[in-house]
Amino acid sequence: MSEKSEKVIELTDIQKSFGKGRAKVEVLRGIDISVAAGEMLMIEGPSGCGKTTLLSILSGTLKPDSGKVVVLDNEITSSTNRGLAKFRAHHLGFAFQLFNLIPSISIWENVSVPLLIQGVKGRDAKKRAINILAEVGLDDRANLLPNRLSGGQQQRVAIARALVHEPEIIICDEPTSALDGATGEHIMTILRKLTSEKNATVVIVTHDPRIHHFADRIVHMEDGKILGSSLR
Amino acid sequence: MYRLALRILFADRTRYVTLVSGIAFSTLLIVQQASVFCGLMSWTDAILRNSRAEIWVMDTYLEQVQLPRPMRDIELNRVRSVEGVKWAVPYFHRVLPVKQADGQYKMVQVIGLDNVSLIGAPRNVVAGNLEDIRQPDTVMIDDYAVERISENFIAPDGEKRDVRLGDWIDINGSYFKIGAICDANRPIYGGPYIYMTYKQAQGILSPGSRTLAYMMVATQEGADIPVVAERIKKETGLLALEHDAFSWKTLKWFFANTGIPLAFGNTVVLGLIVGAVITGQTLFSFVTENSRILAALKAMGTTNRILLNMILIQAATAALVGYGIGAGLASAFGLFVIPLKKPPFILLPTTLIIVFVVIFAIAIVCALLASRKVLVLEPDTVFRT
Repeated sequence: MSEKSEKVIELTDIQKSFGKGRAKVEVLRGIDISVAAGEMLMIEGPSGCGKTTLLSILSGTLKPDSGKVVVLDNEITSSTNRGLAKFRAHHLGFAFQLFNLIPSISIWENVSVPLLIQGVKGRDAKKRAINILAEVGLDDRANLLPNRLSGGQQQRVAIARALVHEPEIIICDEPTSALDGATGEHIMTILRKLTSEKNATVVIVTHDPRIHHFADRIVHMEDGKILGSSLR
Repeated sequence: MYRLALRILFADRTRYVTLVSGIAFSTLLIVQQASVFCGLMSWTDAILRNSRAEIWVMDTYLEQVQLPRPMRDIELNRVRSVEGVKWAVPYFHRVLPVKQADGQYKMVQVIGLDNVSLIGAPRNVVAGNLEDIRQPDTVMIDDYAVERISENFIAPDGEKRDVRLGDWIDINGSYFKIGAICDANRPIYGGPYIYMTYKQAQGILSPGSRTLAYMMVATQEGADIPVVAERIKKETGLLALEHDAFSWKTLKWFFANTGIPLAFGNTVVLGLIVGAVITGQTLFSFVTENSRILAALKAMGTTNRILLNMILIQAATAALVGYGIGAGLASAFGLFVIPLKKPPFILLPTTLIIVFVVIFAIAIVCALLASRKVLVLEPDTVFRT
């Protein structure tokens, strides 16, 4: 692993619970974690341990009850929803477990969505979408609808969409859980290659031990706490 | 993003067609029914559309133009003597039977016009000559009378054909020759119009019957029409109304005393409900079925305002297209039925504007209601399976 010292994500004493009174469930209990620039961090642990909640908080889609979240030198816990949306649009890319591609529009249009959110004009957005699709090997399928692609190809489209606006941080939620082993390996190879080239930081929540070898560091969670981490 | 919203709308063909069809059907129903209603309402004062006067003078207790209350003929001279009156002519109106070849009767509306001037005759004479009705036992019938009387007409030579100029018809036991045919506005009830001189009309009724249904009045040059009308009212004790006021009085009577507005109103409301339900349901299902994708868009940085605008643009576009199709179909229906004169059809620009505003408002309200779900959707929903 190369030297990575600059912290792009820093979470301090994060607490998060859901529900009230007797139904209250403490999901995160004092999480401290930091992620360095260019690092690929994987968060793993059993179901219900709080890893998805942690991913939501560090990506600015959910606010913690207490604690401090600093991403790219921005203290995002105090930001407004509108400010957070703008921050995510410009600095974060997302790849979801179920891809979440818009079924009624073409692949290149799906990939161009983050650019359109940023306000990039249609023609430029199309050009950039086709370029990134070429990098994931799907430029020849650019005009097809998502349902014409296999699961692995759809996840490659989702990765292209996460990278097209060249964000500093990529957030991946179970990117290989809906794929077979070989396809998952292929997806991770592409993700690793592209993020290394662009020096992007990647945070991945996963259950899938088959992809652990791609990580720079793996954080183990259980019962709302980080039990420890291991470097690869 | 707004172009993307339209792409999503057009690409989802089933939903788009449902949305546009619902709005188009709703628009068609409302515009068509409103236009037939306007047409029907124009039939209520058909007499006044066929005969124009500055002032109409009538019995004080008259309710509407189709229900005349004949006055004494002497009233005509009293009205003529009022200051500001240039001239006043009598107007006969009575519903009478026309005997058919099979012995059955068809009701017609006999209009008696001033013997000399024939003031009040429809302008559009399509066959023969209006002046001919000054000849003894000669009348002018309208095109609707041709249609109605021809249903059971048998010519003297035994031929079954449509009535035409020169044929004789039996009105209330007296025979009249058809001297002219005109194109007149159709009445809402009472049958077609047959025009003759006032003198001949008097002769149809039994002696002593009151025959002066209305008086048509013109004012002297420079006279103030409402002032003259008020003066007639004051000096004669009769009711004197300007032409448009008489039309409104008739229209109001039909609104208050018939179920026509209610019947058409019900259909219009039904159209609104159909439009609202289909639009609302389609947009709600769109939001519900796509909540995960909408959450993903939110996670990727789309603000609530942009998402709201996207849904509003989709609804507005569907409303615009649906309205265009619906209004176009309603217009086509109008073009088809106007020459037939039934059902009556008057498509007013006001109708199109009001329906556009209403349809657009329904679409926007439905979009706002549907988008409430999107606005409260948390972006982290996308991570929760």
